[in-house]
Amino acid sequence: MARVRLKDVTKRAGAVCPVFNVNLEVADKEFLTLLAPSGSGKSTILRMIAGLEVPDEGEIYIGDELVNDLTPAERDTAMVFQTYALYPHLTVKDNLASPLKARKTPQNEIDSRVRDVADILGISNLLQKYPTQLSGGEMQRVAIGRAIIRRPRVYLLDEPLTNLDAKLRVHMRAELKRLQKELGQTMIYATHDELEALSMSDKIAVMGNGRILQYGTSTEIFEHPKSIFVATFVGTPTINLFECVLSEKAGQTYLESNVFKLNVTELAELIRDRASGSEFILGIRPSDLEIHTEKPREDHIQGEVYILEPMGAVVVIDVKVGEELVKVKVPGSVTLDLGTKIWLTFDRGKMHVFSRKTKEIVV
Amino acid sequence: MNRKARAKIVKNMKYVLIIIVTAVWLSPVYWLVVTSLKTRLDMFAIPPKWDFQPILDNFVDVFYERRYGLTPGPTEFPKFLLNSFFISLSSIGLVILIGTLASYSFSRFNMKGKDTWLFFVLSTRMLPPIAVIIPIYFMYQRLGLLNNYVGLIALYIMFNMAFAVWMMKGFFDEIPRELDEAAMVDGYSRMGAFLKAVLPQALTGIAATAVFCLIMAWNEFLFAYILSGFDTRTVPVALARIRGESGINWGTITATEVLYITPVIIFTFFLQKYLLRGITFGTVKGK
Repeated sequence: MARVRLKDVTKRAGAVCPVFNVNLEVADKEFLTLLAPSGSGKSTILRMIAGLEVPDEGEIYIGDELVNDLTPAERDTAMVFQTYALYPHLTVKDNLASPLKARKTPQNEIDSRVRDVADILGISNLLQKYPTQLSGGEMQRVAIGRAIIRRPRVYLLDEPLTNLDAKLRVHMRAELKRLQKELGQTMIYATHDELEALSMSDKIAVMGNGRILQYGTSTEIFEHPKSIFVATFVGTPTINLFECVLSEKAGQTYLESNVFKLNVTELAELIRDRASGSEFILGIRPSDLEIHTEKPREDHIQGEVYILEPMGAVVVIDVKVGEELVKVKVPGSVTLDLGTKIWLTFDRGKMHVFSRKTKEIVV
Repeated sequence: MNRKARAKIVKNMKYVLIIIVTAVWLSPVYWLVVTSLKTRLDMFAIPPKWDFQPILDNFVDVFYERRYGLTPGPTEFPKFLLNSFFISLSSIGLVILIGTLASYSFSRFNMKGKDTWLFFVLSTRMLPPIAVIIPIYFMYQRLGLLNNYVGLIALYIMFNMAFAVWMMKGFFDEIPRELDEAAMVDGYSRMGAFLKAVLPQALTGIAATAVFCLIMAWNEFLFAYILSGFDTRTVPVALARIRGESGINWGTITATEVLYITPVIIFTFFLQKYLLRGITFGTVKGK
């Protein structure tokens, strides 16, 4: 129904986590995820959009309307809380009806919309129950139902899946995404779970310490992390990082650490252009590493199998390289004895070079 | 002896202990009720008479003057009882009304010097009544509040407010803020959210607070004794003034006392489940 725009929004004081200079634009009908570890201020942003917190600085627009001075009721948003915040003294039916009652909707319309929403979410049999009689998954559905019973300008979801067990969480992930497409409405979703973010969102904003660190599609965030923080936060198992230095020998440029030496001559100019100094951190995702049981001709990292973590379709191999462990994700069919000597190679296009000083991406 | 048998003995001993403690606590009440039903002769019998013919004469005496040498007619007791009801109920009504809003505000809003304000509220209870009664007497004298309902009600409000605010703030603290917030996003104003989402949750706590405040107001003696007059006299003051022409009139006194404690017992009995919840609120979070 509406796009949402935050312009230089800062919130310092208060019991909540502060946010600084947030600029964010969510297009109409877009699913945006605020992805951040706990305490990074994603809830604060949602609460400021909902009107539960007042920003110290900056402007918030819903549609083209500046909403800074509007009360939560006037802003026309709907929010799903992490704790669900169902009214314990009201039945499921009355919980669902609450936003309509608050806005003085005629009773016959309330009844029909409650029925519709209960149908959509499969909770028609729960209407007469009280929240305390429901399971976590049911409460969560009711909480979502209370949000979607109206057609507000924007939906705000604050970690709605966090309190569910793992299986239900995966199930609800797909359900929620489908629901958003069906409703065709702007949705802003806060989570610390990268899988939720990657699988559901049109756009992701990764946050850290109250700032937006990177904004983009799932693919952009995963494949082109802008900083070490984003690279390590997104992706399981975590990206492998190696400290290395840039060196030159006989006209060739190398990234060199105490366990490997990679020829990066073709990137040398780019690296020198974008970063000063010679200290870098090389990042390479576990799924981008290839293993060889015989020494390959190309540049490689040498190590030995430390432990295997089979995960069904894939195996994560911990490879001991020098004093460190490197994770490699390979198909589940791979079997290797512990202690086997192996060699790791990777596509130069998949590596990420960060400056050690700024922790920002270089190449 | 196996564990099961031992556990059973321990359990039974607990019951015995509970019965003993209850008996000790209830014995004055028993004495009171029994004495109010005895003739003067039975009251003073030694050894005490367990088996006697109960009479209601003492209760009749409370309501009807028929002693020798005095003009026969209805006594003033119903008036004093009504005074007690009126002063206690109107003061707790106002305490609950103001206290609920105040404690909700203390619980939800960050105001400047919040802790200081809370301490200030509490400090109204720190001086013992006997220490402030004389200045209050002079203040009331100047303000024309002696022998005045408003005077006593205002004093009881002040006296109970500290307790009510602190106790109810605890209840409101226990109710998640998300409930208010959900209601506000749903479209209610702050007041609407308070009434629709929060207040229904707090009702048991408010009821518990009301019981405690009522008991305090109903039982209060010192202020009422000094500041009330004949028109505004409450039951505890009236009780203290009962005297007989030939020694202490125990029959009338005990009968009056029985009538005096009955309303509180009934009130507490009906609200006991809230009371228990009120006392254990915050310590036991189970639902």
